[in-house]
Amino acid sequence: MNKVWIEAQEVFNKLLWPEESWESWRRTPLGKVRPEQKFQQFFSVHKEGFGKSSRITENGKAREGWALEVHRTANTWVCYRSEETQQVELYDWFSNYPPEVSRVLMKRIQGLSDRIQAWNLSYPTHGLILKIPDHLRISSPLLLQVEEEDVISLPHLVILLGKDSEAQIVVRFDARKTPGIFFNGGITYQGEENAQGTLVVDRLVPSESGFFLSFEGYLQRDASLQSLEVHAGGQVSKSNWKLELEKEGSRGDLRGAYVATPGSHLEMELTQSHRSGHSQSNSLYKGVIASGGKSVFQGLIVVGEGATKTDAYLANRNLLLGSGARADSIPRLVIGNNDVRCTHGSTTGKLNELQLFYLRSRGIPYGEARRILIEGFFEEVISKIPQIYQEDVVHRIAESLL
Amino acid sequence: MSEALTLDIGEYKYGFAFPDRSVFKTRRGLDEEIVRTISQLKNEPEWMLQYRLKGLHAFQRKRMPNWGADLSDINFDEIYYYAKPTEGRKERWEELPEEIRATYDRIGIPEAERKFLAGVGAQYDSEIVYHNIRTDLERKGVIFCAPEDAVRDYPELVRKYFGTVVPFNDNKFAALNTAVWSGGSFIYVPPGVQVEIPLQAYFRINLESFGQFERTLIIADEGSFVHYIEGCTAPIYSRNSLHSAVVEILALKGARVRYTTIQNWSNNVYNLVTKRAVAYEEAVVEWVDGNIGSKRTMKYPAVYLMGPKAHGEVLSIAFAGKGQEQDTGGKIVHTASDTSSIITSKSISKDGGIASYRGLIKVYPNLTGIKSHVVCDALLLDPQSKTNTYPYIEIESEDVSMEHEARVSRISEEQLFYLRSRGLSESEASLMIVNGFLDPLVKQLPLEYAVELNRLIELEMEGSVG
Repeated sequence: MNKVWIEAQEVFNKLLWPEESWESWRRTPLGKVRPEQKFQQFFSVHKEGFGKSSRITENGKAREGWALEVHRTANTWVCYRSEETQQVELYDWFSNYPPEVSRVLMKRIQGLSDRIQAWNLSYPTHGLILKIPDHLRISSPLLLQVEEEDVISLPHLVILLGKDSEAQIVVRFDARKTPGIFFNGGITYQGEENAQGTLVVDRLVPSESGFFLSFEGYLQRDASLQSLEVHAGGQVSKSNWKLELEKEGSRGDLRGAYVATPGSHLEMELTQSHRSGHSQSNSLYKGVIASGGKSVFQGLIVVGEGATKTDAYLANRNLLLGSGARADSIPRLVIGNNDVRCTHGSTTGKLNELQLFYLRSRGIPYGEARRILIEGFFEEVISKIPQIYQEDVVHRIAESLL
Repeated sequence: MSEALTLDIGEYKYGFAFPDRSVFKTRRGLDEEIVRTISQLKNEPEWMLQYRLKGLHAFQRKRMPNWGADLSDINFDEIYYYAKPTEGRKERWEELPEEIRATYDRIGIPEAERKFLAGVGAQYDSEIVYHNIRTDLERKGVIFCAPEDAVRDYPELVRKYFGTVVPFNDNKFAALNTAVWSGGSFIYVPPGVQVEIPLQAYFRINLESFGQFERTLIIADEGSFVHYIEGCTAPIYSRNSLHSAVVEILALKGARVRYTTIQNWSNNVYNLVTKRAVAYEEAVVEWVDGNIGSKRTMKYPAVYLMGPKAHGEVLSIAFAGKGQEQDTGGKIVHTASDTSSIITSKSISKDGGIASYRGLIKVYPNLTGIKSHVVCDALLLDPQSKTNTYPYIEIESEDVSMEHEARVSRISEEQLFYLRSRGLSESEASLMIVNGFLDPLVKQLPLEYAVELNRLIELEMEGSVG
């Protein structure tokens, strides 16, 4: 066992399982997912076989349009590279990874306050570390596709962007073949000085599933991150997305697209944490809530006492389709100094009747007109992700609303 | 700025106190015996005593809120829960004891009454000591009296409405109020009656380590209108006092109620108040809530929109100075179609003060034509001050137009520069910007109060440099 896991397990042992009486959990139907029981079940199986590493195999060239593809199936990471990404480093979670990875993970672990997240870091079932070396700028996107085959699945991905590097990364968790899955995934991201990252996280889950995802990113001086999380379907889903703007000049542009389908509970927590001056963050989370679906968005801008000249914006837009749709929106600000510009906005409404009427008067059937308007609604959140993946996201949203 | 003003720097001008001359006071702490004593002193019917006891048990059972301002300093066993300042209630100012009269003279009540009020109540510690209402309103059937008198004289009205808007077990502090309430106002406005000029109550705490628990119930019958104003002050002591009021408002069909508070408690008062209104069909309820004083305030005036086309509005101003925490906001619950609401919150933090907006907009399922608009603006005057915004938005209907926005800013260099280039000093310029920031709200206040508020802000702003 390496010291990262030991530390993570110590933190895990100190924390308590969440309860519905806690402020950040009181909207979550914990009874439907029962993390504590899932853990007992998991532990009774895994205490023996914990710590088995996966193989990483190189398997030739990546598809047209991608700079690197990693597919995980049956305990193997299969890797396809293009010329551009020969120097990109990949490590399995259970192998010996470089010390800078440990440092980032220790930072993450010391900041843990949630037991479900701590579980992910203490006992992951599989994990991959992707490191972009200093000064490497990759023009085509990288794809990490993780097939989830275990009924209780705990992947953890670490993404490190070295100094002056640039990369666009698409992470795709695919659990469609595993009905009833309990997914508890984690991503840790570090952008070194002037690293320019783009990160898309997408997941495909069966309708019967519990889904937890926690992301934490750290940006050093002048680093930037452009992110998009996509959530559609699933029974109970809760994601925590937190960006720490640790040093001056760092910038984050965080976006979300979500669809709460009938019977699903979709929850997102977003934190834009400014710890140094002259940092900027911007967020835009847009969601469609179908009849019988529920979404909860809890956004938070935190500005530390020394973080002057901060510029932060947070926005949440909800579109309700039909009665019985429910959207909660809690955009919060916690501001610790006066030399800042922080604003947030939240709107909730329905499809524009006039626009619907206009489209229908042009002979477009109702369902089609609705689809066009919903696609238009999501346009601005997906416009900045790699073009090659935009269609997938649009398709996923349309599919979930059928 | 004038000479006279600079002399007042930083002083809380209502901080004076007179010696304790209460004619009766319960011992410190709270138990069933004290609740029974209060009830007995007020000659209450059995049902009210039983209701108080239910409140007491709920208070003992309920936990302190695990959110909001830090309340860990409150020691419930240290507090006096009831103190009777005089024998009986007076309708003529001259009959009041000298010291109480002097107190209100210094706060300026009789003056206000002469000038523009339709009715006045003054509460000193636990009891309403003075009460008066214009006879023309009395003839129209308007009731404005102490709630104790209402229990005695209008038991059917009180039993019908008391505790229906804020139940005895609503929260820990509402439960406490239910157990030991004393004083406050009871207002009933008959159908169609318009009370054109405001009714006013003044609340004053004189004792140290004292708890004031007034209870206000306002019933505006169909198509009527009333504007109620309250002001609050207290002396400065080293030990903390507690003010925990409950205000219930019922605006029946087509009625309009406007409730204005300018709270200027001294900086040793915990101000934990439950204010809630229900608005039936086409009714309008407006809360204008100014929080200048107190050590910690937790207050979120609420409107439940129960009938179609009802409208609710909350205008909230908070000023958090040194050592102060203003945790304020508003709550609107839409339970009927075609209802609308507006919450406007403006806060200013200075000298390390913390101003937080905390609010809720809730829309029940299967409603149509709902409109809601929430704006929160925060101004931070120095690097040590803090501001937080916690808006909760819960929407379960489709046909809703809901907008929320919040902004945090400071006095900008450009604004200051502009004003200074026009020959204003830095402090004058800052003051002007702060006044401009609050202007939209100050306009909503009756003239006398607007002047008073501007003056208070001016005093609070003394010596501050943007």
